[in-house]
Amino acid sequence: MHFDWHQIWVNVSLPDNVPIVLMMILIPYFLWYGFREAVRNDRLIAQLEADPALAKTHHRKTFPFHPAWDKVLHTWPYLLRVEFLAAVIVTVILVVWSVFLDAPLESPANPMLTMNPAKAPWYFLGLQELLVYFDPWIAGVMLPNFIVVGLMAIPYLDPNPLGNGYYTWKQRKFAITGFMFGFLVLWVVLAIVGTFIRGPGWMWFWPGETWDHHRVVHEVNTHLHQVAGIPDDHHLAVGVFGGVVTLGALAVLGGIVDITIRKKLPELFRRQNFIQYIHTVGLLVLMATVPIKMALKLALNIKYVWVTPWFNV
Amino acid sequence: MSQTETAPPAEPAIPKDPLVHKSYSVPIALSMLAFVGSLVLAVVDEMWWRRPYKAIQGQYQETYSAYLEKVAAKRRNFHDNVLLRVAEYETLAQTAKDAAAAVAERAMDLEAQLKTASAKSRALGNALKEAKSEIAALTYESEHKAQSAGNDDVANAPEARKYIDEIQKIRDREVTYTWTATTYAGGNTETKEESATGKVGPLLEVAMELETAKATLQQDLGTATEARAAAAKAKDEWLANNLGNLAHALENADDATKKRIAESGAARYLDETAVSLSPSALDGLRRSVDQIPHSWDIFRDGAGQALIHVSDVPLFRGDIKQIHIKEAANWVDRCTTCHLNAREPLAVTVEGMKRVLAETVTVPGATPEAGPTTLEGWPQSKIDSMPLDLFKSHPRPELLATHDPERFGCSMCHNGNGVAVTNTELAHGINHYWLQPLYPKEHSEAGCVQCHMKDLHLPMGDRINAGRDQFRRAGCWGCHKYEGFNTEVDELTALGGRAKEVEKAIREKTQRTDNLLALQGSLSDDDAAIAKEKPVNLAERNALTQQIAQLRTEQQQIARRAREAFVERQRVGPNLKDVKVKLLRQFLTDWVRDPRAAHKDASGNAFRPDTKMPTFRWWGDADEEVKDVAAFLWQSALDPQDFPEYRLPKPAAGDAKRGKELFEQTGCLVCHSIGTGAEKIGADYAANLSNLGEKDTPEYVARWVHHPRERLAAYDPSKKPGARDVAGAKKPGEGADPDLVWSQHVIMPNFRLSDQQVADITAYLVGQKRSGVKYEEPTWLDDKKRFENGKRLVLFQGCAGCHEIKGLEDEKGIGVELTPEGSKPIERLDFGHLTISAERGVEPLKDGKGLLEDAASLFTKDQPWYRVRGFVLHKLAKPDIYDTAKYLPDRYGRLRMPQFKFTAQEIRDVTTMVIGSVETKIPETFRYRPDDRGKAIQEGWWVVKKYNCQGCHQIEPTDVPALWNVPFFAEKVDPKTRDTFLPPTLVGVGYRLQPEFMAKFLRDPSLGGGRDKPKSLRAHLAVRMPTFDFSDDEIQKLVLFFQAMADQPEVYQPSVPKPLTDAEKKAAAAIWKAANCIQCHVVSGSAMTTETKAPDLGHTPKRLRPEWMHRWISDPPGMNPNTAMTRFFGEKPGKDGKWRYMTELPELKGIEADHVDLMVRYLSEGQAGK
Repeated sequence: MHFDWHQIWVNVSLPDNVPIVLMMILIPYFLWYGFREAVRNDRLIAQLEADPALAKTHHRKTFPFHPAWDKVLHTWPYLLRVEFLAAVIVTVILVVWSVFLDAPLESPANPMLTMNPAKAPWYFLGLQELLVYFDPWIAGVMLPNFIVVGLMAIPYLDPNPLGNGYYTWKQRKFAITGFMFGFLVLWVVLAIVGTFIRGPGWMWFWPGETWDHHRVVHEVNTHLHQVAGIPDDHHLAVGVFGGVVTLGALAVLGGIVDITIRKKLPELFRRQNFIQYIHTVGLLVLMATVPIKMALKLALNIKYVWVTPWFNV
Repeated sequence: MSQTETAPPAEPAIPKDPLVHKSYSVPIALSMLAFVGSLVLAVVDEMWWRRPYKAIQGQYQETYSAYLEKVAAKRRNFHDNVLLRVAEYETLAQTAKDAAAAVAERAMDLEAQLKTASAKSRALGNALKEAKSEIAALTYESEHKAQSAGNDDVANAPEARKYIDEIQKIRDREVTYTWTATTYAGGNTETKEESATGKVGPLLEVAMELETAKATLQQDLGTATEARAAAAKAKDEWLANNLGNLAHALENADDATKKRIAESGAARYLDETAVSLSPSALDGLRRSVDQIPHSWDIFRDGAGQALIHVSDVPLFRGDIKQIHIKEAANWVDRCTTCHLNAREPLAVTVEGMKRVLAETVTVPGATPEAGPTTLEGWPQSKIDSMPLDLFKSHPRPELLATHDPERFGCSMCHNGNGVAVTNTELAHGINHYWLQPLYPKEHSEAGCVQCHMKDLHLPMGDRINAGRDQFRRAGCWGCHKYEGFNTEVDELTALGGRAKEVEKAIREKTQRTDNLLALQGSLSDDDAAIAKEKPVNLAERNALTQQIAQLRTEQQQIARRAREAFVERQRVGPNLKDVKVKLLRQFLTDWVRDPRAAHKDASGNAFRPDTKMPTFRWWGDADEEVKDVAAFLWQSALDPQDFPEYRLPKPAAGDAKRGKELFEQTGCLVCHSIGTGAEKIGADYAANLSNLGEKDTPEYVARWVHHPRERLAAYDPSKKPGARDVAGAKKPGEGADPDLVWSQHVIMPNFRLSDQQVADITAYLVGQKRSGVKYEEPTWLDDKKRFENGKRLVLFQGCAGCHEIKGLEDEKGIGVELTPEGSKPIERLDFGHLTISAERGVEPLKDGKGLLEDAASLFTKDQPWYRVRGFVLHKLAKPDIYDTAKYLPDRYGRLRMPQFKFTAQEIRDVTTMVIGSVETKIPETFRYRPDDRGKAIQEGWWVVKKYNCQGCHQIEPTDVPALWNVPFFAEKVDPKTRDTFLPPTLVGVGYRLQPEFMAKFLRDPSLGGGRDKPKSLRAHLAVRMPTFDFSDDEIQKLVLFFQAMADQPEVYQPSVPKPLTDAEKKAAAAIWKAANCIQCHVVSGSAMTTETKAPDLGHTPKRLRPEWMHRWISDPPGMNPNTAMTRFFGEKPGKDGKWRYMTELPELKGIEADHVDLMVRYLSEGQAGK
């Protein structure tokens, strides 16, 4: 099988996929940029905190730095002029983009014929990819809700007063790690998989493989209770087994997260009250279950852990 | 600032804070520039890049204006220097001049008088103006005063007295008036001042008289100059008519004029200047092109002319031109935005434009002093830079005449995206997602199909007609359902279903009637309540009886139509139930394997390489499969053991030489061919009959030649498949069961040959054998074990779609229905493993492997073919192509369509038909909805094509019947002899023949003569019209078709000619004798002579329409230039409008009647030859 550059080009050059291609370049760049700044700032902070004289004063903790400079600057003009510049540049990019790339319209919808692959807009492809691993109700309703609610809850859960207005890694290790896992792994990577890896029939095509509509794969989904040898028609046994495994797994994960936070992040544990702590642990556990479930499906073909007549997990 | 001035420099300098001091001016300035630039980019994109038509319209203006200027100049030159000097025009001009001269004197005189009267009337009017006004005012006063006093008698009212006296005074007032009097005498016009004086009263009367005199003079003048005006009009009309027909003018020019034309070099203008536009019209056209109006132009003057021409700036130039059809769901087509000349009145070709633009033309000046102007030819590079292809006219203006673009737009027929003007790809819909891409040029007629699905023949659709013809002749409809083809099968299914329903209804209603009857008896009269039921019961029974009668009628109609449908039904291939009696045992097997390559002789020549039967593919052990199929066919065939009538008698000994002559001269070669390679003669409508001795038994050939459609065993449609052939039934005319069918599903007609002729032809055909072909003895044919597998294979391969096979009579074709094939989503077409190649433009047939004829020429380029068109093209060229690279251990999973031998053009034409077969988006009201006449033509064509009428006859004047190419007849195709020795043309036959006769003749062309007297009307012809065994419905369709084609009403009302008086009878007989009609005609089968070359006139009373006869006899060559019949009556009707016989005959004295009419009545009364 030769490496199919044509297919790569088709996928990359599709007007639909231009944003995600840009994103694949921009995200590493900004990641690199942010970390570069963060490391420099961290170094400065360390330097300042090592100097008792300077540490006493409330200094600007970011580069560029000079002890004699103003500690704070006015929004106007020092911030707004940069924002204005950014706005103009973004406008120029959007105008040029819209001039040279037309809206990627396709054929009128045909109720008798479903397109294959049928794909959501690029920014939703991560969610669509989740459908492979979860019950539609979980992937399409519950998880997006958790994402929204979780994002809204962050300010109320975050007890760390440091790191406002400047890049830093040392002062916000936990927040940055959590963000990178949630955004990069659970959103961006899934969107990329949905865009470039999932071909006709939502089958898995490695880059360089031809998206052949006639490809047939043999894939049998099993449920965990089947692996455990419980017959499908023993509904009660199946439900109880799944419930015990699922809730047990959640409890175990919760315990692991709890111990880890207490041990590794005593500051966080100390600063949060009980309700904040419960929610933090809960959200972290949920985030952790997604890749676990994906691994079960991709590596072991296990579709559901908990099968009930009403819902599947 | 002060700080820097006063601070001591000792303090270490603090570096400036970049966040505060860094200047952003440069980035902001640059980004603002980029911002403005992006806006400019957006404007340019919107106004120029996305509107390529602006540039095109500019180019069009330049090109077309230059073209028109030159054409108009050349045209004017031609008009002034050549056309006006054509002899005919000069004659007309002279006539006009003479006419003018003839009335000159009188006209001048009258005109002078008229002028004088007018002048006098005007002068008098002026002189009386004041007095008239005063009188009017005084009259009003007098009436008003009298009326106010309550006195209606104004004349005697005292109140009015004063005013009436006043009026009288004015009437007595004297006035003088002066006028210019014109007199004409002896060619001189003189004018003189005259004056007169008179009293107002009498002068008022004079003025009225003058008006009357003027009118009279005007009238006199008109009458006097009538001839002059008519001559002038004739001259102008000739000019107007011939402006559009320069060729005609040239043809009719005398030699001197021709010479003058040749010298002027005008003849070469004819091609592109032969337009129906005068030079001034061309100038007008040019003006309209020069001033492309535009809404951008601003500040208009009072006349609406723009004062500021913004449109002169290319960016603001141009308009989207669109056709908006509200009734068709707001259909919008903007094609003419770029295809600017598509609908212009002047027919322009690319070649014509190139030639004219390159030419240098000299235009004579308006006055001799001004001198000629020279219009320089364009340099070639400039011509090449213009998109001339966009500026040509629609190549088929006659199509636009019936499909007005104003009503139909462009994309209804051509497809494409009519709304888009952004670029060619979008506008033409050459985009993966556009479902109706523009039909490529070679398939442009595909657009006809969506509305003309039922028209087998379209008057202007050459390619689509060819496609459908191919579809019909290759027998695609055997496997594929398609609207209009093979309809009898579905009809029979529907009729069968309905018949069952009707039968059930009759049963139920009869049952109910019986029940009611039983109930009736039990109803007692004693009880009043029950007695009331009696009439109700009776009423219901009566209603039921009526309904049952209606149902029985329907039952009869169903039975009749079912029989007709069985007669009409046609199959692509021969009846395979006959193989046991028909074929030689050893022939069958190899033929099944590969008909085109079967039974090769020593030098590798196959038995019938040009057969229509396609080659099927055999997998696995091909030998065994083919043997199984052959064994099944052989064993399933009807056995003479079971059907005594299957035992055919040995044909009588025949003379092969005479048989050859008959075969070549009776008309067999109109459909069949014989001979191979260069020796092949005849047509490909039916099989090539070479070497028939290797294939068929003589008994069967004899039987077939004798009457092909006659079944060997009767056929009972009501029985189940496999049991339909019934033994022992009598034949039609021998008291046969009317439910039985006696007609084979073939179309070959019966030639009514005598037994000896049949024997001769049989001897000739069966005597044809090649030498040195080895035939193996087919021991396997009777192997019963092969039967089941053979049947399985036959069912899979779909043999029963084309052939009648015992037990499989009702099998449907194995192919997919093609009626909506063109609108199938591409995802529904299985390209197999070639999907990716098709999408990416890899041509799998580029190597030409496995392609027949010149099909490889279709697949030379690598280009994307993931479209319905590509699918069909590849499929037709190589039907198994989509099995490529498939692992198919199961032979029943494979593609079945066999390999046909199509040429590239045939493939293209059938593709045109298939891709045009779509579920149309065009609203119902826009599709072709034929009236009765149109329907008759539509249905008639199916019958005409089915029976190959055009093989012998011309149906349309442009037809070239196959008979004309058969060697024996080819020498008689000369226009002088064509009508005498070849079958008659059927152009206008619906006007010639009475419908009843047409039907009678179609049913039995021998008109009762049978095999003994097989020829009836034109016994002198070598060919004969065969008996086709049409169904009654087909005969009706044909009669209506011919009438409609000749524009005759559906119902014929014969005119009843006045009976001949004795004197007239004598006169007519005298003409009959004098004209020697009997020399060429015969009457009621009177003896033929070597001079006989015209139809039998004995049938005339029932056969010919009198109105046609009248036209025909008065001018035969005028109606049919190929006829041998000449004019016998004066060149034109006499002054009384009556035709006269050319020579004086004593019997004609005192005969008042029109002599042609006399002959019509004579013939219509059947008096001829008596």
